[in-house]
Amino acid sequence: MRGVGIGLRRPLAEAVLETDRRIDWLEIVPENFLGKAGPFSRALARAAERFPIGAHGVSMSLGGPDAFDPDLFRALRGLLDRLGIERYTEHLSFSNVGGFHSHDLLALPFHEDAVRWAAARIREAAERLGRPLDVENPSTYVAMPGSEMGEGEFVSAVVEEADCGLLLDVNNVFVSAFNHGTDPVALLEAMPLERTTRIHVAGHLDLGDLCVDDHGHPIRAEVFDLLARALRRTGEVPVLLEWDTNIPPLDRVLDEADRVREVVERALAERSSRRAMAPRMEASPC
Amino acid sequence: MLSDSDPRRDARAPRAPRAPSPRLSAFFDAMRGALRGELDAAELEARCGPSSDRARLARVVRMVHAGRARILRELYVATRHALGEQRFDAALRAHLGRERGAEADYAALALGFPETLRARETPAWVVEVADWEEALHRLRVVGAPAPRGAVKGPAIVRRYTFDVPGWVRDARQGERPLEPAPAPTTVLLHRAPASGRPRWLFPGAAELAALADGWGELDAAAREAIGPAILEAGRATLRRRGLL
Repeated sequence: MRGVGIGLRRPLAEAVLETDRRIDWLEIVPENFLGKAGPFSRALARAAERFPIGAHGVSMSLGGPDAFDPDLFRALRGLLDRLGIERYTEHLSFSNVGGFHSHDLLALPFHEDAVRWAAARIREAAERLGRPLDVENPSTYVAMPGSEMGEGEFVSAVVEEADCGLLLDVNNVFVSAFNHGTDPVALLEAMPLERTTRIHVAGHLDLGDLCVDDHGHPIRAEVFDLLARALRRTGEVPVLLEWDTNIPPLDRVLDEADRVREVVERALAERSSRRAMAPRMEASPC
Repeated sequence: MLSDSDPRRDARAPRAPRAPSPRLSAFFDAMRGALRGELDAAELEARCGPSSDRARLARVVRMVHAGRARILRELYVATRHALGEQRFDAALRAHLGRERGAEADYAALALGFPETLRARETPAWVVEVADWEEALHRLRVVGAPAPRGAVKGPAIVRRYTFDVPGWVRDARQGERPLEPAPAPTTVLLHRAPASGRPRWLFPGAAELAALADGWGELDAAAREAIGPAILEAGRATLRRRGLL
């Protein structure tokens, strides 16, 4: 899987199957297909014949206290096997607590106990899935009660302890930094970039005093800048444009994906030229 | 991946706690209370330590509630129109509180809203509007009945006391219509074979008989009483719709 993908979302599915425009890969939210056999599932089957497919879950509640749902894992593993998906991705957050399904991605408190717990759950989930599981850095609105470390330090510690990959969401980096009044570049640099296996980029809702990670707006220049910075560090990884609310017609989504692709290609070219320059500079007598 | 019998699992086991630490458990317990509306942000902080911003913490909890409500607000547009915002919001809160958030599938949160309305003594015609919007959601996303017998794909038959599809169409287009005049209406909803989108027709006796026959609900005596000509006429319609 390479290049710039988009999310296979219900309102876009038919158009995705009909378009001649460039789409490098598609990412699905597997929960949309588990136990369902309707038109969207048929669209996925057709899409899988044409595009590489990645999967990004939303309901595992990786950091949460509730026992994993064995039915979910069984169904998920079956779907991933059928689609030939080798890695899974989920959010470093929790959704369910004591049987309450928030249907949201809630941040954990950033402290050592949460690091150990989340890392153990990631390892367990990966074993249950029978494939590597990479986690996405959260978008946060507040440091949860009891937090003792910064977000970048927390994500790094979890990923290190779990020995897993990072799905780096550069929009989440911006949203978190904005909401905490900190520097997004510093937060990006604090992430375990060397473990990045995929990048997400998206737009967000700017309420003035709060940025909400709604995946429903065009990408801001600052987020594009973070994307380029990240890619210059990570090298080539698959990049996904997420557009999940206020979804416009496919052509508008693909226009935005083309903008993402330009940034990706420019950043990777800069990375290549810097690396090519590096040995010569070292060898230079000056 | 390591198998259960792989000895290397043991080497990793000590790093894997079986339960959250007491401090983390206390956080989850408090968050559960906050999400269920039983604790406010100040109580949450009192139990777990300070957050970076108490007002923001309260706002996060409100965002969760708004997110859970969103699917109902977007799905039951005509019902909301019929009820008015205030009564709709009260019903919505009752619906989401009913199961204390136990529904794992987000799309399925919207199912059962007509029953919630019925239990709140909502006018029967409004419940019918909600039932129609729920039936469309079942065919589009989640909760469609399984195909039965010779009938291809899910099919739903509804008998309403007025022209619900027409009322909903008008309500979505503009001004709030008056309470509808009685006009008993039967609707057969199904999925279009090619696109999978919900479609419907107003079936006559022939189509209903053919559908019941396709579902295996008619015995020989019933089929004979209806007559082959009527059944065949009904089947022809269902075939055109891709249902047979």
